[in-house]
Amino acid sequence: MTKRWSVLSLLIGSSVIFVIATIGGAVRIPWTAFLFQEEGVYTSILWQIRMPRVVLAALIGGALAISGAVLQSLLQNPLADPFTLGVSSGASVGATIAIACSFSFLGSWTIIGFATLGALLAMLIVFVLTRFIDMQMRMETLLLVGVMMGAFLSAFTSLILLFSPDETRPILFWLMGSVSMKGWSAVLIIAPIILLLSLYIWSQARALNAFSLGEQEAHIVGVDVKRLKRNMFIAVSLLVGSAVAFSGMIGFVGLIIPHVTRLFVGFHHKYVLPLSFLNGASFLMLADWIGRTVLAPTELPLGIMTSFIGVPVFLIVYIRLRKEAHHA
Amino acid sequence: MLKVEQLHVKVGAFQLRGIDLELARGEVLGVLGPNGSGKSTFLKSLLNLYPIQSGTVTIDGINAQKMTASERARHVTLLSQMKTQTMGQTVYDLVETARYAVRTTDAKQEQAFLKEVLERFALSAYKNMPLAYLSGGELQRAYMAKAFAQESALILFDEPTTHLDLHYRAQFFEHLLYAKRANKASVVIVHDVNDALHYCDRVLVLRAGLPIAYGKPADILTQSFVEQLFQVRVATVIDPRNGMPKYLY
Repeated sequence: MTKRWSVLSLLIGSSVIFVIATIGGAVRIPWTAFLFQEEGVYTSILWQIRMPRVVLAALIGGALAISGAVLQSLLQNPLADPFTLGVSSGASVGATIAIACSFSFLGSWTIIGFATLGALLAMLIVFVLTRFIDMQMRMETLLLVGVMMGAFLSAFTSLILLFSPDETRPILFWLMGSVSMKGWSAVLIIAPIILLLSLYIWSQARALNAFSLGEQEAHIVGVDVKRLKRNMFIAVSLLVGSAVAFSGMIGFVGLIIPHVTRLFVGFHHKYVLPLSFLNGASFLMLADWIGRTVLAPTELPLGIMTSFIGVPVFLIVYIRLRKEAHHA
Repeated sequence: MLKVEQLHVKVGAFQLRGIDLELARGEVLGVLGPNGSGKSTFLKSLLNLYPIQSGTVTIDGINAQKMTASERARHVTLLSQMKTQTMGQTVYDLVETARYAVRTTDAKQEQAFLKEVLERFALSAYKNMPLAYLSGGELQRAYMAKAFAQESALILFDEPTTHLDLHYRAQFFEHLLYAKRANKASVVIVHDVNDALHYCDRVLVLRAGLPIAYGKPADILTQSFVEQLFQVRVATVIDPRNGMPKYLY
């Protein structure tokens, strides 16, 4: 399949999924609701509840996928994942504290606010600690510090859970991931953050191409390695932190979507970055749709859906990659 | 086009000191010395891969320390490890990365240029082949093509013929001669003294981070010098092809 056909089919596929996700669900919405003239319950559901939810799923899926693609290149590691920077654990701690202590001084934004704060603090600590340990800020050091921080903060989250028996359920539900009932205000806040950061990352496609051959190779062809690492780290942390703050922990998207994308469009980041975003968006819209349809009216949390769908897909991709390596 | 003055580099506990040399375009500088003498460190410091403690490196009249990353890439490149990656990069992808700092905005011109470079290194048929599928020699040609695609006047070669058999070692020196004809300045780490004698216009001999000799190979690489440097007895024969001495061990 030539590249042009791949890109086209991915675009069409995404649109189809978008339509399915908006129409389908616990309440099936007739296509007439898409026309602006009608009033009524279907239109309300479509525009006030369903649409923002699907758009949010798309944005978050895209953010996680593009972050995964960037990290896999920066670390030259096909198994790198946005959650290995420790940022998402920071968001978890923030959210968990807010829920456990029943904070509400920011109204419905309290949990998100605390989660964002947690993500930013975790990012800052990981950044400073890495710099302190290793002046050059090599990616291995960053990864190590990120994983350690992640483990530490996860333990912290568990500790809070232990001491908050009444809030266990809402905390766990947050941790399992969800895009429901956030509304357009959530979309309006997170959309510019995600879109601007993703566009910035896309602009560095060539630098990332060079980087995926190793830091030394990137240096040789003229990439300002230190600056790129710093900028990408900040961009990815902000993307992942805000995604997790809004929707909880949603795994596997950042890990497998870039791989699947590369199978379609090859290695060049000019294509891999935007199409990972698109595929991540489609994947999460699909996962959300299945999660709220399959056992309607119960909603299966997104994090669970992505793992159920993600694991078999990942195994297929990984086995295929290994076969290629054996071939060589 | 390359001028090194009193270069002092420190990497961990290892120090490289007091290196002075000059190299013009179309010349080949061979760097020789026992293992661990700092040959690789020297090359990498020319590219700012290792920070310079003191001294200056001047490339085409500009202080290398003062250059930005992309400016430096326009003047000098390094051919070092030849990796194969698991991300499915093709030969074309590899060679294209070299254009990062030097590419023009004309996409058609870029494509034509890359096509020409691939042809010159007999890689046209391998354009879309993932690096992991290439043989040792094909990979070497691909990395050579990449070095040339960067269009820098100075090319540094860091132990490129290790692990390669005679065919590919010979091929490497063909490429080196090609670089010479293309008026590039080359710095090559040489392991075989005979290669230094045959291909290099100047040699720099290092031992434990210090330069112990610099100048024309024929002047420096006498039999006694070679024996002393590498602690091995050699016999001298004359190469019937060009009348130059060759050392047998």
